[in-house]
Amino acid sequence: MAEPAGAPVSMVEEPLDLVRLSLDERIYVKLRGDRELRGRLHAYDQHLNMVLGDVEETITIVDVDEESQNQSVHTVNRKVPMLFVRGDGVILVSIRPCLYDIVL
Amino acid sequence: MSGSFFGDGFSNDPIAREREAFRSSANNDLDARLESMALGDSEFSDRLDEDLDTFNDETFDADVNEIANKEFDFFQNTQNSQDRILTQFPQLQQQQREQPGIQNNLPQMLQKMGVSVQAAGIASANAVSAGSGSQANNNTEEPRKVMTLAELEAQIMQTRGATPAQAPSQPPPQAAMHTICKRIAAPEVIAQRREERLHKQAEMAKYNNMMSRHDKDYVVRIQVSQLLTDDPAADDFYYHMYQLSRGPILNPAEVQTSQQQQQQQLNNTATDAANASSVSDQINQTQNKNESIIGKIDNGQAPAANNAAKNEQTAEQQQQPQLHHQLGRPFRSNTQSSMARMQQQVQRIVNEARRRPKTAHVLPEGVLGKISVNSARNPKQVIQVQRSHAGSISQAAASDSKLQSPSPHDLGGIFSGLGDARNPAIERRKTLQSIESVYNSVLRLEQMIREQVRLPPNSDHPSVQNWISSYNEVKEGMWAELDASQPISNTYPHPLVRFLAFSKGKRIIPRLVHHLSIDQVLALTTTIIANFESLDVCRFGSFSYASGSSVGAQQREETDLFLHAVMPPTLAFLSETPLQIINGLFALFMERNNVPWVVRTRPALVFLTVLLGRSAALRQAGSHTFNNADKQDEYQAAELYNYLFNSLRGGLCSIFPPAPALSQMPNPLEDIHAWQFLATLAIGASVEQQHMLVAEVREKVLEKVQMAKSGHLPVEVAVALTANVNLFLNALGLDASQVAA
Repeated sequence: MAEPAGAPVSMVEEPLDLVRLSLDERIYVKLRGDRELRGRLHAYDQHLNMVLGDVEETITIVDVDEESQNQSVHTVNRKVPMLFVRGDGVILVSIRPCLYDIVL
Repeated sequence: MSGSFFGDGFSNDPIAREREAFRSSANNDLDARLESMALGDSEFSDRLDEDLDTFNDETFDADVNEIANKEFDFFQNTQNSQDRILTQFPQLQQQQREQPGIQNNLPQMLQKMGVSVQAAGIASANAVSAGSGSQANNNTEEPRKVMTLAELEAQIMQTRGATPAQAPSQPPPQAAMHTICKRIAAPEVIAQRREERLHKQAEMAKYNNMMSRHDKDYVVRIQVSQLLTDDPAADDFYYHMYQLSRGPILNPAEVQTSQQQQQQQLNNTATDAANASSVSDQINQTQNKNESIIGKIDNGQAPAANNAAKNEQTAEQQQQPQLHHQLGRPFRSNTQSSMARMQQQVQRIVNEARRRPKTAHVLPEGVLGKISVNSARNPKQVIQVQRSHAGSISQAAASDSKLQSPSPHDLGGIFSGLGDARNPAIERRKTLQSIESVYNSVLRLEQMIREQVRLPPNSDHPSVQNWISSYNEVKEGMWAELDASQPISNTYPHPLVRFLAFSKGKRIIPRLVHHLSIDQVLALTTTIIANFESLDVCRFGSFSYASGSSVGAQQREETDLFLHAVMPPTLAFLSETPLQIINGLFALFMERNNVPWVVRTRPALVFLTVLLGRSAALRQAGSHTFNNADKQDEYQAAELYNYLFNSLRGGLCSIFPPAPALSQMPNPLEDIHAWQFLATLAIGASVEQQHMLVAEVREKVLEKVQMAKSGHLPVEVAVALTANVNLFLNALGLDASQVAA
């Protein structure tokens, strides 16, 4: 992590600092209970409680047919304009690829 | 409802008994006694070795029986004393008659005003029989009805108009009567209101007396202990900022009213943190803050006058705070006193707590070791991991990667496109890190500015020197991180361009330039101009791009953000620079950027408009001077203008955004930049150039004018469209109305 000389910033590089870099960016969060969130990160803390904006939540449900023992998977989506996530249930946080991936 | 919240104090439990004993001894009021006596328990009556009233005589130092059995006739007593006084001082009687009390002589007064007393429903036969004055109104046959206030007033006005001679002598009592009349509503209404009030009170009182005074004190003590603070600004930062943002200071008059508001709000809400303990501190702070803000506004008023006015204001404010709750409406008068009482109580508790600070560790007797008490001020410790040496391997790796020259690749719009293969993720992360570092610096600088008001005024003081040096240090660090001092770098895109590719990077610019010197702002502007082409708003935001997709929408947002956040400081700077610098920047712009291509973006249009406009204004202003250097500048400016014109010829129509779909309403805001640019271009144009201009854009002009006149559009839109076109046409000396439809 190259830094120009004389920069006053601290060099502590811990995993939460990477979350800090994603502030105000769209991120992908995987939660317990087969849920995923895609939204814009507005705030977080050391427990990984997060405030997300423009969130789309995807819940994955596996239906098991009792007689035929068939498994079918379907997802449920819902959109929430502003959401507070308790850090307890967060499994991972990732950066979404940029929306405009244009090669000139 | 037996027992208190904290358990039944009257059980066989020795601990509960002890607690009860402690409680009742801590507050020797009637609460505990009453409770116990009501419950008829033996606990307390055991301890009282007296019958209920045995000690009364001692307590009151008199014969209680005599007092208790006495009958008091207050009315008669007062009447007797009054009579006695009147007989002693007969002149008082005269006065009494002349200035009668309201209750006694209301009918008389009403009569004087010419209101029919019977109709007004006043039940006193004496006054009526004493004569009806000038009023010929005989409504004795009519049943006595109760008049509304409106009717009363109407009658009064009527008689006033009818007898103007009487008017001059009567205004003062009439005015007084008006207010008195207002208070007298119909008796039934009064009774009804009273009943409602009592009912409401009874409802609310259903759940009274659940908590004893001790319980209430306990809860209040917990809450107030959180109010103790040494540094209210730091502890309650968000409230502070909220107050500041709620009262934007526009002029000294408003400053004082907003100060009043701030003080009121500071004084009022007893639950607000940090207020109770440091009200005066905060008041001083906000005053000082406002002082410094006044200094910046510089209305030309002498600062001494300002201070004097303010001190006066605060002096009288401190005597008589006008209390408003947060909505801004004033409290009723009874709430005022209860708020004051609450405030005093809070103040008392805070002082108590201050006097005896709670220790973080408890050391009971005979116990080995300390028991630590966790609180907000003394939280649980967390293990700190040292990073300085453990990261040596990663540091070596980092310095290795520094040697390789970075280059963009796909993933991440700004890094896509040309260049060698580099790790785009690392590039992105580096930029994000520098953004965060700049944010850190800006926050520190802002905090230091807030602390500046607390410094002593004389600049020789060492703390002031310290402040100055640390401020400069942070500022230089921030500037270095921004990396804008070298307009041309060997990495593509320029680090500043990468910085500005993120919206949070754009957002920090206005707050940042606040701390920069003029030279630094010049360097920033130069860098932006030199690399204008590679800005994300230009690369992906030009009009030829798809405007309907989500990508387009996002780009429009970014462009707007750029126009609102990044441009204004640079434009403000531009509007104050001399012609030489303008020329230099202009030349740089055209040299480094492909003008016909870049002019399709709104930021470029705005930039060019301002540059051109400023250049033209300076040329006009400077045309009177005979200074050689100035002449050279003007000549150069003219050259640059011609160069621009020639490079734009033939492609002027491309500066307009693509027309919206037929179903959508044409938005006049879309092309206003284009018209402004054309107007500025026209101002500096020679005659042939003007001809050429008109020839190129006549299609567009006709189209817009036709659209405006067609009548399909709502009036405001048509008017706006015409105004836009007129921007250009007026510069040429024409008008939209002259255009043949």
